[in-house]
Amino acid sequence: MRLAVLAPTPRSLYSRLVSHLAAQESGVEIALVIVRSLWSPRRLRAEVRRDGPRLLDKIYQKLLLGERAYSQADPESLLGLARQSGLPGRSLRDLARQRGFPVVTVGDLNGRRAERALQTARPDVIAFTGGGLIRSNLLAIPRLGILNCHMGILPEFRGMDVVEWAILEAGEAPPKIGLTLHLMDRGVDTGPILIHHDLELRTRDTIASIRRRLEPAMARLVLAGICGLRDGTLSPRLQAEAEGKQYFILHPRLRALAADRLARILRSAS
Amino acid sequence: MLDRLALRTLDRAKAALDDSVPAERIRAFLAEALTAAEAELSSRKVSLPPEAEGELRRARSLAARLGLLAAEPGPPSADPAAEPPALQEAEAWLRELRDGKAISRAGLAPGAGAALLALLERPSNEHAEFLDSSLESLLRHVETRRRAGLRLDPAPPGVDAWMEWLSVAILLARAARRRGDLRMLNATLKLNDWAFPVHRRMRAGPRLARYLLSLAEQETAISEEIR
Repeated sequence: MRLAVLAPTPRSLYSRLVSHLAAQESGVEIALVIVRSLWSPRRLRAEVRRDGPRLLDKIYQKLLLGERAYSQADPESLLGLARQSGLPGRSLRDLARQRGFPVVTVGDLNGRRAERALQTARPDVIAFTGGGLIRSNLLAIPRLGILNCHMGILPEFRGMDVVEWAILEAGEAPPKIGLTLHLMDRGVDTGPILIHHDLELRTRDTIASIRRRLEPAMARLVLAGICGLRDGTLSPRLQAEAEGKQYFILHPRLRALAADRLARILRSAS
Repeated sequence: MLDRLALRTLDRAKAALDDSVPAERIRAFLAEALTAAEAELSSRKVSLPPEAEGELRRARSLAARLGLLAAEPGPPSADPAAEPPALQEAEAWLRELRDGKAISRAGLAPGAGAALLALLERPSNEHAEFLDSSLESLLRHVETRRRAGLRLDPAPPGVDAWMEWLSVAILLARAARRRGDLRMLNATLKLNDWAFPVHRRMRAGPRLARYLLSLAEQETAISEEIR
């Protein structure tokens, strides 16, 4: 099965892990990796508009700290999984050199250059590992579809910050936190669902620790999706629009409320 | 060393970009501005049209319930949005609505906030679908277009865009309370934060009265969530 990977940055640990793990699977050939170029005024504008000041946290964590953002001793983090699986090098180019797959850098994942490269690579499946919204011109290219792992339970929790939103919406009940692997369509997290992964809360969890534990599970889930599509063992379940709501970036006051609610839920459960 | 320098620079940039206003600052402003507006009105330095006076009274009554001001004697001020004339006005607005949409990519239809609030407060099957879809569209518009989307369409001369968008903030806060939908409160918080630098030094007048009511509705919705 021919696989293409869409990556948000050349050093994205998540994209590198997905590519690395997939390349080790029999019957999976990485036909192409498309990386979104880091510095383009258009990207900066779009991300400032979407993330506001939080973009600077992302720049610090993902670009300046990179792998140093993860605790070296935490085997459950994304870095822990990278170490366990022997992820080589520091960038997708390093991995590509070792594994022998092509990497193309583009300004816009939906642009003509990315579209042409994907049409030439003829992937059966595309794994989306970040880098913005995907437009319909790319959706029709892969034979089986574009995989996306959403950090939330679909169809209920579509959109942004859904770990926190799930906590806020849960009231006193255990929140529905986890991941959903789905095929992308034109909507926001509305495509057919392939696999769910539920997260069990631990007594000392915080929102940050939940996110940290979900990250490596995302890479594993994407791999499970690639293998499932290769073997024909997955059956996509369509989502109805009315089954869920779209959530947006949380205001800091509601973010603080979510953290308080999580602490209260964990206290009452212990 | 370099990391620390980068972090400090990014922190400064983040503070400059951050347009959210802390809870304490909002609550202090609400209490101070209401007190100042009342003083100006009672000394007759300023007079307000009846609608703005009503909004100021309701803001005061909510602020007192929140414990931000001393409770006032007598029953709390009634909300005209819940009275029959408001529903009749909303239905008239609906009949004249171009394209049948309260909000489009180009902007907000003037009068939408007040009309939708009346429909929210006097629920009827006839308008339920329109109300639901309008609230969802308003939410999406505020969240995705952000400040750049705070426009009117059409924009008739003499109609103040802030007055209209503050009505939307009031509507979303009330919808959050009535429907338990925190997404609406999330959008209210953002709208009111964007309005803060514009209104924080404003003297008593219709715009300030509406902003204070919007903040009081927001704080009421949030306090109901925290309980």
